Amino acid sequence: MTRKILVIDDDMAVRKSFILAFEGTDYQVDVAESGMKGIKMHHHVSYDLIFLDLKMSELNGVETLRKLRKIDPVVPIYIITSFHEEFFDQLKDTENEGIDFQVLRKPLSRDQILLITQGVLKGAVAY
Amino acid sequence: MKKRISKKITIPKKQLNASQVQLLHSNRIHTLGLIAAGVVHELNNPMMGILNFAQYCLLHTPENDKRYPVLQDIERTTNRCIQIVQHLLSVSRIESIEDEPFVKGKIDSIIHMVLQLLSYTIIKQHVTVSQSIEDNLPDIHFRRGGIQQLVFNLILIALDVVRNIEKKEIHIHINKNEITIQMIIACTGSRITFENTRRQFNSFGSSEMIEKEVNLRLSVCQSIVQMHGGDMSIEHKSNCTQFTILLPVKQGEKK
Repeated sequence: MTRKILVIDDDMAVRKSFILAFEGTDYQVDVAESGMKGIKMHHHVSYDLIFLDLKMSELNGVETLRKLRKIDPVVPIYIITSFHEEFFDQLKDTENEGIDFQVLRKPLSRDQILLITQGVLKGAVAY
Repeated sequence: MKKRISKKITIPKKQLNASQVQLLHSNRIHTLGLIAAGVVHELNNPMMGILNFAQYCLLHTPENDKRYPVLQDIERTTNRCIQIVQHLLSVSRIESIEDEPFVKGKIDSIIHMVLQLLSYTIIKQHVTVSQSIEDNLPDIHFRRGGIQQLVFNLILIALDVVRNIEKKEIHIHINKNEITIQMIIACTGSRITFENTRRQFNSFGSSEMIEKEVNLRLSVCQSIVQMHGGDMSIEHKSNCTQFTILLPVKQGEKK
């Protein structure tokens, strides 16, 4: 069965990086350029793994994470960011509320993207 | 009587002016740091793009294609940029050394990082930098940002010292014994010309202020060493200047 991955990031370079990294693999990758769009997409498709940017206009990553968790408490969500220190307090609050997520630091290479995905979707986090 | 009163008023006023100038200067540096941090952050997304685009092209280009090594160069160079940006980010995050937690790490990794950040200046000034770093240095507990700032400041000052002399050499030596790590930053020349510092701060003030800035830098270095329970000394000889820093291997755990 094809595993489905959603990438939510408002930067084209990042979305395209994920698309290219997964090309030729067994994974299906979809991308969303905003938090709202990503939430709608997950509502309809139900993804197996979500990569989520933190610093986005309109709905930021933390707000998007909260809304995603309301509709899906279990899907693995990896926040990918260069701004984890700036959002530290918000992320800490979210963690204290019992909302589950992981944080990865940008930039990610192709190998890192694939390694993380394989690790998460095979049940063992390899990165 | 009038004279005595006048003297009493004048001295604090001078000190106040100097403090205000210093405060204004520090504030400008802080602002510059924030702007730099913002710019550096924003570079991560496009660099992730360049890295992945190059890796995708490498994957779809035969190794005997003449473009293959060029793509490898793009990948390698982008990784180098990413590393530099990470270094810049770690420097720009130093807002308050006193609030920074102690972490476990190796001091030689900081030397490498600072030399990379200053490599442009080092090459441009035709300075020879040599290192003798003892193998298997132990991890010490330090405030990473603080030690980065210490090494950065001392090498920058050393670059000023060698600037106007013929033989431009800086040597970095690190050795250990059971209780301390000794770091020596030595350079040829014994007179600070303040040129690098002037270039770095030339938007901000006069040469008098710049000289104060160097003194401030040395004072900050001294404080950083002290907060790690260490000791710093400066030795000026006729043809060389040497900064010696002693850091205890275990003392840093104490806040």
